[in-house]
Amino acid sequence: MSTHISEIEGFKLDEIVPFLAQHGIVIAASLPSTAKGGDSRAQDGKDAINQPHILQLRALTATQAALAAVAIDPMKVTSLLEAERGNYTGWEQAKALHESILQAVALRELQPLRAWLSIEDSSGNVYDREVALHDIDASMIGDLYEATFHRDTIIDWLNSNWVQAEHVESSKGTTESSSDGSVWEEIATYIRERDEWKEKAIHLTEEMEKLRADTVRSNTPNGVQAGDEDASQVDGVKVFLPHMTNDLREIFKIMWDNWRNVDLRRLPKQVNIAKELDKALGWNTNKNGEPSRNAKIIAKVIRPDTLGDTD
Amino acid sequence: MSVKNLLRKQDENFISLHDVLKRMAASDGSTYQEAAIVLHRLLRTTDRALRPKWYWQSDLYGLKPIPNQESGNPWNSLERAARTGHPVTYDDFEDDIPF
Repeated sequence: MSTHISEIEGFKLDEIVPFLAQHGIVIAASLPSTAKGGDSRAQDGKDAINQPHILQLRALTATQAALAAVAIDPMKVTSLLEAERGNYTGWEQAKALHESILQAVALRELQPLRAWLSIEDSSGNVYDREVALHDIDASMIGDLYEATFHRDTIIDWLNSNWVQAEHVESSKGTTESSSDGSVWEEIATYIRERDEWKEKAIHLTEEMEKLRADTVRSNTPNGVQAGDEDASQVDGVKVFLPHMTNDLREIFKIMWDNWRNVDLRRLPKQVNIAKELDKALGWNTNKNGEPSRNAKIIAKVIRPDTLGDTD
Repeated sequence: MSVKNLLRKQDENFISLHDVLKRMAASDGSTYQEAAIVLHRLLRTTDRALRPKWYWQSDLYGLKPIPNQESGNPWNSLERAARTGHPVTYDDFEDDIPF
């Protein structure tokens, strides 16, 4: 008996699934109507994740996997923070597991479909940036923020790592139980402490920046002095130079004198600034009494860009 | 490896447009038509190099990329689903290309 030969249009799974996941759409590996009895993982109960509706997903994030592994439904509780704030049973384990998964990614033990770094810019703003898979390395431990995986990849990893750790925990419990009775709580404590140290490090870095800025100010005799009451009120910029010269010192002084707290209705005249420069730098004015060409150029150079060229 | 297994193995990385739309709809309870509209928009607004390619899965030839990725039957099928909310059937197009 012959069958009708068909031709069907569609996509490669490993292209369409990450594409949709990129836009927040995670499609199921199989539909509910056909899933019954189809996936042995859901039935044997030995896998790290045994929630059938989660096993229908084709791709999982590290967060989803960590939550599902401790029996918190990631379709109801969508973040680790929510699990922690809601004090869901096992949130500590989920948090530690999430960290562990991302460390495995950084160490290239686990291949993600996509991964994101948490970046903090110089202003303290934190944002996410996707990282190219070939750029991932161990230096990203602690900085990876999230990753997505093919379902089978993450479940296989959990089966050989997390379930194993769970056994260690239960066997440990019978012989030498820790003070709080759970290795996962210990790990969560370590993570909490690490986060606290991170915050302290950020604070210290800010302090160092402040001290460095103060040092620069105090080394610039005619600039804003350290300890000057107005110093904190001034919107300025920090400039680090290889060295200071007498002429530069004079130029900075004139820049501060003329452009500090400037009144937009009464802008300083470029010609007057140039005359000041001539005087301070010992340059001769033109024969007709106008400032020198050099002084005019420097006056233009130190004029705020936002004001344009009109005098 | 048996003949059936060999066939299944070669086709396992393929998902039909119809199945993609069904699974998108099932993922959050939206309709088939809404899924089609979203997929149409996503594909059309994504640079060609970054979006998934269209493929033919043929019983006879296996999985082959569709030569014209910018227009033609796959797009017609998706647009049809987005406009009507129904999968394309054999009767919809003269060239008899089903989902």
